[in-house]
Amino acid sequence: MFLLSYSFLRHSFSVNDPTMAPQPCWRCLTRLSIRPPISTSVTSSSAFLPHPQNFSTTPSSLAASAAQRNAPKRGRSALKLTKNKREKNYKVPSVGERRALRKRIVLSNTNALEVSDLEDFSVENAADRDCIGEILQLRGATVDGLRSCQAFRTGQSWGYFRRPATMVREETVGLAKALEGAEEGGCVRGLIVGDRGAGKSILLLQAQALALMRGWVVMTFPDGMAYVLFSSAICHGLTTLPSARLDKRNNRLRPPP
Amino acid sequence: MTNATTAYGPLPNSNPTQYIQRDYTAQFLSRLAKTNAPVLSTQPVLNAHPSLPPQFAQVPSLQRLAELGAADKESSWSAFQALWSELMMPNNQLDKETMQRRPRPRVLMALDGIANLACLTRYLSPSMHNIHPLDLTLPRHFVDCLSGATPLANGGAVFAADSAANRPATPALDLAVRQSEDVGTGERPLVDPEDPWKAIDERALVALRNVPVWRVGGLGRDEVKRMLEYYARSGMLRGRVTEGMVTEMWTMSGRGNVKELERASLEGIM
Repeated sequence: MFLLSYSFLRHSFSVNDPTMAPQPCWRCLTRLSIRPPISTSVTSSSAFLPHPQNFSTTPSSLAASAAQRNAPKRGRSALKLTKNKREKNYKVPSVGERRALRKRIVLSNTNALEVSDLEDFSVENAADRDCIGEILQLRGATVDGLRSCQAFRTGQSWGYFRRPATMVREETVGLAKALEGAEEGGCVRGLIVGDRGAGKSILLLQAQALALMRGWVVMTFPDGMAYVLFSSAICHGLTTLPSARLDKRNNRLRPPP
Repeated sequence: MTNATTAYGPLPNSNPTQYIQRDYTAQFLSRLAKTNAPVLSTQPVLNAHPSLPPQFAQVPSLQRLAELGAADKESSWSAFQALWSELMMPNNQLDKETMQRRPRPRVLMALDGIANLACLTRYLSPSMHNIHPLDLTLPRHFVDCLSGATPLANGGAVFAADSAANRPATPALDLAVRQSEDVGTGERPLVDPEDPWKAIDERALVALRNVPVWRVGGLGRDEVKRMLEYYARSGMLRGRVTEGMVTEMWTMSGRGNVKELERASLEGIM
C-alpha cells in the first residue's frame, strides 16, 4: 500500500517528461481509496497526498475508523490452543439426589413371586408360641407407620420380596408378651444385643410394629449416630447458632465460645 | 446423634453444661408427628406451657404441638419437653372442653445403635474436649428412660438395639452387657476384671448396666427350613429345599445367622 502510493507520487512528479506513460489525473486519484501506511504518523502521508483515503471498495462510511484500525492488537504474543474440553453429556444430579438414592428403602420387588397365603403380623399372632417359625406379612397402615419412623434400614433385604414379611421367633414372642404386660401400666426395658446379622434391628422393628398396632406413641431414634450426613448442602441449610460456628474449611462445627 | 453433624448449642442455666441439638430435635419431632398422627391428634394439651413462644399458646392437640416444635427449630427442645410432660400426665385427667377422660397412650422408645451413646461424641465443648453423650439433652433423655431413671408414668417400653453398622469400639457397653447378664456374685466393679487398665466410660457403664439384656441368637434348623421355603416360594431361591440343603445352609450361615443365610441362599445378594 505504501508502495502503491509511492508509485503514484513518482508519476506525479514526472508530468513534464514526454517519455513516461500518461499520468492519471489528481481527481481520479482522489476517488480511489488508498490505505495509509502502517506507521501511525498520518501526517507524513498527508504531506504527499492531499486527501488520504481508504484504498478499498468499501465505502468510507462503513470502513473502520483510523483509531480502530491503528489500535495495537491486544493479546497474545504466543500461540495458544483452546482446551480440548469434553462436552458434558450427563446431567449433574441435584442437591440431595445421590443421598436419597443411596438411602432409599425398597419394600417390593415385582420380579419376585407373590406368596399370598401368609397371615398378618398381628398382636395376637406375634404372642402365640404356635406361630414360632411362621412368616407373617406386614400390612398397609403398619408398613406406612414403620416407614415414617424409619424402622426399615437400607442393608436389609426387603427389596428382594414381593411384600414385606417377617418371621416370628422365640424372641418375638417374648417381646409381644412383654408389651402385653406393659399395657397394664408397667414399663419394659431392654438392651437388644447379638451377633452381626442376627436380627437385632428386625426385633426392634417388630417392637415398633406391635406398638403401632396397639396405638402407642412410638418415638424412634433410627441411628444412634447422626443420620444427617455432612455435606455442603446441609451446611448451607444450617442456620448458625451464635454459639456453634461452621468451619467450612475443615467441614466441622467449631465449638461455642 | 453423636457424630457432630447437626447444630448444637449450650442449654442456658445448666450446670454441668448440657447441650441442645435443635435441628436433630426438630427432625425427631417431625418424625414423631408423622408416625403418630392418628394417636396424637386425639390427645388434648391439658397444661399451659409458658416457656414456649406465643404460637404454642392455643394448640388443640399434641399432634399440633409436635408439628409446631418441628417447624420452629429454636424452640424444638422446649416443645419436646412440653410434649413429654403432657404424655407423662396421669391418666385420670379430665379434658375440660370435652368433659371426657382420655387416657394418655403408652410410649415406645426405640433406638438403633446404642454403642454410639456409650463413648464420647465428636462434638466439642468450649474447652475443646469431646462432649459426653449424656451431656446432650436428647440422648440423655433416652438413656435416662432406658436405665429407669426417668420412669414412663403411663407405661410403655424402651428398647435399644446394638447395631453392628458403623459401630464404634465401646468397652463400656460390652462390660455393661456382661455385668447385666451375669447373675453371679453381685460384685460389679467399674473396671473390666479381665483388663483393669482398660479405660472405661464410667457414666455410660453405670447408666447401661441396669438394663435387662435381650440376646438375639441364630435360627434353629426348623426356622431355617421355613425361611428357605419362603425364599423358594418367592422365586428367589432356585432348587428344591431338601434336608441336606437345610443342614448345609444352617451350617454356612454360622448356625442360623439370618444375614449369612440370606447371603448364602438368596439370588443376587453378595
